Amino acid sequence: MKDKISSNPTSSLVTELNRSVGDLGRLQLNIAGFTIQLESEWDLAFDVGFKHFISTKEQEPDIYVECRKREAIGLFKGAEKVFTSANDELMFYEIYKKGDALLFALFNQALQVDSQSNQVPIQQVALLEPDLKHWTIWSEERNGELEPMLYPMAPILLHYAVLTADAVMMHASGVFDGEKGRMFSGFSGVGKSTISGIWRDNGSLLINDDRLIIRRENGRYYIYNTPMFYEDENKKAPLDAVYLIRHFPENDMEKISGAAAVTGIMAFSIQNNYDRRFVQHHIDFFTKMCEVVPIYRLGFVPDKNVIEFIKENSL
Amino acid sequence: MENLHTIKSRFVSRKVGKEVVIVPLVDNVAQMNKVFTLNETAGFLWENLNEGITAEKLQELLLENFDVDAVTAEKDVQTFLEKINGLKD
Repeated sequence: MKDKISSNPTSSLVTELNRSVGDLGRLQLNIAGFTIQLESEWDLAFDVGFKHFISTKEQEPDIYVECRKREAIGLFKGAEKVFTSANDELMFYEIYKKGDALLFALFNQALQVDSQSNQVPIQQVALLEPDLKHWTIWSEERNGELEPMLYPMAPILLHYAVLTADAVMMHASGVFDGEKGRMFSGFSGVGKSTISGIWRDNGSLLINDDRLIIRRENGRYYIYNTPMFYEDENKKAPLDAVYLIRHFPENDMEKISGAAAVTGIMAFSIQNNYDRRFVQHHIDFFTKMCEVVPIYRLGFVPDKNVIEFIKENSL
Repeated sequence: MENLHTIKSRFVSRKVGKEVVIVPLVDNVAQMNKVFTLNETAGFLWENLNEGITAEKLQELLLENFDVDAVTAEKDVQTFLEKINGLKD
C-alpha cells in the first residue's frame, strides 16, 4: 500500500488547502521552481514523494491544472496519435494531437491487458492546451479523492513545464559539497547512483540519483530534484560541472566542448521527440549551457578516491 | 530531385561554434540516437541550403570562402549532399 498524503482536512498537511474560490479547492506544488496550481472540486491525494513539494505560500502560478473525475466524454474522437511511450513489456502512455492541443492517455501499469478488448486499461486522461501551461487531468475517483499526479503524470507534466522556461529534465544524479554542485549523467547502469552515493557518504548533499531538472536563472545554472516514489526534501544546488560517466579500470577524465559536449549531454535529456520545437528547445538550451558549464567525460573506479580525482582534475 | 533547401526541414539544427549539430526527424520524430556534427565546411554548406540554392551555387560559395580548388569543391558538395540525404533513413 502506498503511503499517501491526502488533501482531506483530516490530514494535517492540507489545513493549508485554500478553499477561498467558491467550492473549488486549490493547492500549489513547487517543483524545480515551477509553481503548479491544481484546482478541483474533489479532495486531492498525493504520493508521499510530494510531501515537501506542496507549497505553504501561494505564488503566481506557472502551470495550471484542473483536476476532474474520469468520465466518458469522447475526447479522443478525431485525435491523431503522435507518440507512444512503451518498452518491450509495458505501455506507459500515448500522445494524440487534437487541433493544437495535446491529449494524453496514461495506462495503468498494475493491471493486466484486458483479454476481451486486448487493451491496457487507461488510468488517466490529460489535455494540454497549446500554450503548454494549462492542463486538465481526468482521474479515477476513490473515496471522494482524485490523485492527479499518479505516476507517470507528474514526470509528463514536467516534460512540458520545462519547455515553457529555460529548463530541461535529465537522466542524471547530482550532488552538492557545500561549494560546488556536480551532475553525473549516462545510460542506465553506468554508475549514476554509485558515484553520487560515494559523494553522499563522504559528506555531500545528494540532490537526486536518478532524475534532475536543470534551470538557467540569471545566467547561472541550477539543478533541482523532483518528486520520487519516496519522501525527500525539495532541493536545489548550483550546477558547476557535468560529468558523462562510465565505469573504467582507472579514474580517467577528459574535458569536452563545442558540438561534442552538446550532443554528449543531450543524449541523456528526457523529452518527447515528436515535435521539432521540443528538440530545438533542448539543443538551444544545451548549446548555451555548454558555453558556461564545463562538461567532462569521466571513467571512474567506484571508491572514494574518485572524489579527490575529480577535485584535482576539474572543479 | 527535391529542392535542396527542403532537406533542412527534415532536421533540427543548431550552430555550435564553427560546427553545426543536426538531429534527423523520421516521421516527425527526432532520432536522438542519430545526432550528427557537421565540421566547419559541411556546416558552411548547411547554412547555405537556402531557397533557390543549387549544387553549382554551393560549389561557387565553397570556392569563394575556402582555400579549395574547383575539383575539390565539386567533390565536397557532392559528398555532403549524398551524406545528408543518407541521414534521413
